[in-house]
Amino acid sequence: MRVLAVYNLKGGVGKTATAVNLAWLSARSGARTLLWDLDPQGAATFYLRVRAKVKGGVRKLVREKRPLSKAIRASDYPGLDVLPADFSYRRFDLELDAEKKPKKRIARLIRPLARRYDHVWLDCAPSISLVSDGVFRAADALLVPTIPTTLSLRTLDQLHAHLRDEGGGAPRVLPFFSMVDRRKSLHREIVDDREAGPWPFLRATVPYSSTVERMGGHREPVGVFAPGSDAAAAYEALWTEAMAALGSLWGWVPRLLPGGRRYF
Amino acid sequence: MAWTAGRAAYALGSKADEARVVDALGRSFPAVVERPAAATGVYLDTFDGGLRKAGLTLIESAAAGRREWILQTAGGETLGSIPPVPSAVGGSAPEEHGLAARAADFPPGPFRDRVAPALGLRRLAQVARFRLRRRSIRILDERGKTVARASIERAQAGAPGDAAPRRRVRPVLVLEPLRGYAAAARRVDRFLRERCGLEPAEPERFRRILAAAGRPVPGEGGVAADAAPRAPERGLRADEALRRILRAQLDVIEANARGTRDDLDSEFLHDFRVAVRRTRSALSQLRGVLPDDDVRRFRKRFKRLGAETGPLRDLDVYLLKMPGYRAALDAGAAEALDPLEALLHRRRREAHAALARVLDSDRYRKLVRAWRGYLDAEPAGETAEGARPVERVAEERIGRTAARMLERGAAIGDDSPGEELHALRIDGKKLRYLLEFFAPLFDADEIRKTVKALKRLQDVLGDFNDLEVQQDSLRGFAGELERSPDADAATLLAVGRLVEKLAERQAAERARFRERFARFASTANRRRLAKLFPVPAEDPAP
Repeated sequence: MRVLAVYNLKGGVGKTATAVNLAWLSARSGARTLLWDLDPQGAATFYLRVRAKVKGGVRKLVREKRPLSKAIRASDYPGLDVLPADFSYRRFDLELDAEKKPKKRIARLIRPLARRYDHVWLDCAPSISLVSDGVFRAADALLVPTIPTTLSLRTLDQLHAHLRDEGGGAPRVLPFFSMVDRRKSLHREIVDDREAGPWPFLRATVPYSSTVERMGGHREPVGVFAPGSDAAAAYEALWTEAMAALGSLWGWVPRLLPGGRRYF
Repeated sequence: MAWTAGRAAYALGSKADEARVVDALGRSFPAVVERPAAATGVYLDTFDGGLRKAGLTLIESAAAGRREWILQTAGGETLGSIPPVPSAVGGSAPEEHGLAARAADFPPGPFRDRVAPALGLRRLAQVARFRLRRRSIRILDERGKTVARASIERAQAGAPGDAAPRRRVRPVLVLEPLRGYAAAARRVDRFLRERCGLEPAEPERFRRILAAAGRPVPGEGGVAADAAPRAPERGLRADEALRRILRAQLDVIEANARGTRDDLDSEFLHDFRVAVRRTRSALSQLRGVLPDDDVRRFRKRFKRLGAETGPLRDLDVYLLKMPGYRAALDAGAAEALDPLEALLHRRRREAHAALARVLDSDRYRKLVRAWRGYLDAEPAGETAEGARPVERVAEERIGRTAARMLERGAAIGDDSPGEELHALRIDGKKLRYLLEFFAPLFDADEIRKTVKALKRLQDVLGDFNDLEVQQDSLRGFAGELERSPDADAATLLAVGRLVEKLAERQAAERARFRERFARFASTANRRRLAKLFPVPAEDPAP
């Protein structure tokens, strides 16, 4: 089982759209995939049409009174399941804090799912907290959607500094440019100059796109309602590049099978 | 509650029946009818149904002009897919077997991790081919979320060799419950049964397809389902029981001859040899049960056949051990073993050709035919021993073999020659076979404990012997390499180093022997043996 988190300290960077589209692509690659929507706003859950409700709330989950598996729902897509958000997730930090080894808790909760899933994607709320520290412990890799602005680059520095301070088995950090607007000269400069920065960015970029915004209306991944769009192609390129980058870590590279429809 | 409730299938009749059900579903539930999808598939499994036994189904799918391999659970849940795995070169198998890859041919990743334990050393082969046309109806809830999937499946099935699948599979409607929405699936199930009047059908597509194709499910029903009962029961005459045992072994011999001949994978020969060895062991351990004049010739002929399979098996074993040999050496030395591996492959090709000639020969065909004829014919003569109840004969023979083993083992000291351990191993093997032949006559739990204690001892003895044989053989191969131009000093050095390593391991096995034997000869185990297999004191030794 591989755990992948989509994370940024800043909000509004295209995080949830990334998590939903990449998790959907994972399922399309043949990996049994789970998306855990950790954000109490429940946007990823909403995009996948699942009710944002976890019986017993975060308290029962964190205290292991109810296994994660009981809260899981199938999405509309074969191979992709959802662990929905719940409004009680706003108290996630407090619940973790009440436990022993709070930062290891999320990894511990996920572990029993290893038999059932190949990929677990975590859609994280924008903050640095016990929850995000728990995510850093649990995840093999962090995908960090980054808007090409100076401030965003600064938050990336902060994230790296934080992970260094935390020490231990820090996840692989894979930043990429998100919501890129090529009409803005600053965006162009930063994206074109990515090699110059201290952190290696993935080459794939996700453009600022009305297709991505329309996910809320369709409540489907872009690959479903706009398969030929630039946005769909961008997420596909991002997925492929991220998997290739992680392949060296995992010993194999997941591949996207063409077609994507299940015939059997 | 299971992770996902299983799929249910319902039999459909005519096209009109299908239209009626789709219509009724659409009227009673919010639903979306998807475009029909058509694809062809080939089921793959090993000869002995390894995937099947592990609860897996592997399909080579061809759909929309693309091919992929899809792994599913027996329940139909997809576990993963990969591009088709080409099988490595090697094996002189004819096309008709529809052969596919072995575990080692798979790329690393979760797909291989799942199939490899189920395949073992076996190669995949085609089981059946089929064409599937599927129309799915997604049942939605009030928020437009899919909560169940109902699919109408029409299919044609065929054997692996068929140009195209032509046999009609009875159409079904398959209801797939979705995780977290069990209640919706229950509603649809009730609707289909009560309102549409549908009857349940076989839920596994694999079984529906194979039944229509007239193919056996791999690993089920055995090699000859209609054969006489295999297992001896208490009260049966010993000679009839022995015939049953021998018939079962002959079935295995015949079932594996073709795969051995065509070199499909190394397990065919292995199973073939074990059955020959069991046949020989039964004939000599149960001497006097069948008239000796009848079986003496067969005993000799099977001995010769067993010997003829030896060289190929040995080479198979060395080739299977090559990765382990390389791992035992450090990287540079490991590469120096390449000429050795090439030599083994050459020798193996020769050994296989020689065995194939045996299996194609009149002599082999006549042996099998004559043996089958003898076992199936009305017995012409009988012996006093053969007329006794089988359990009496079994108790005595097992009891005696066990006693001999205990005696021989107790006499082995730390400086006894290796031959004595070897002799003990042979006794142990005979005991093991007898226990297996007659297991159904005795308390299953007690037999299991006995076999377990024996197996732990045999593992040590087996490894001790294997390591001895390997060292001898490797020295022999080194001699051959010395005379050949492809090998340099590095190779000979690496082989020498390997022999040293094996000798170290052999010494370690030897050190383990005392403790293992002591356990086998423990009071508890002796008592168990004496109770299970009492040997009458006055019984004259044969």
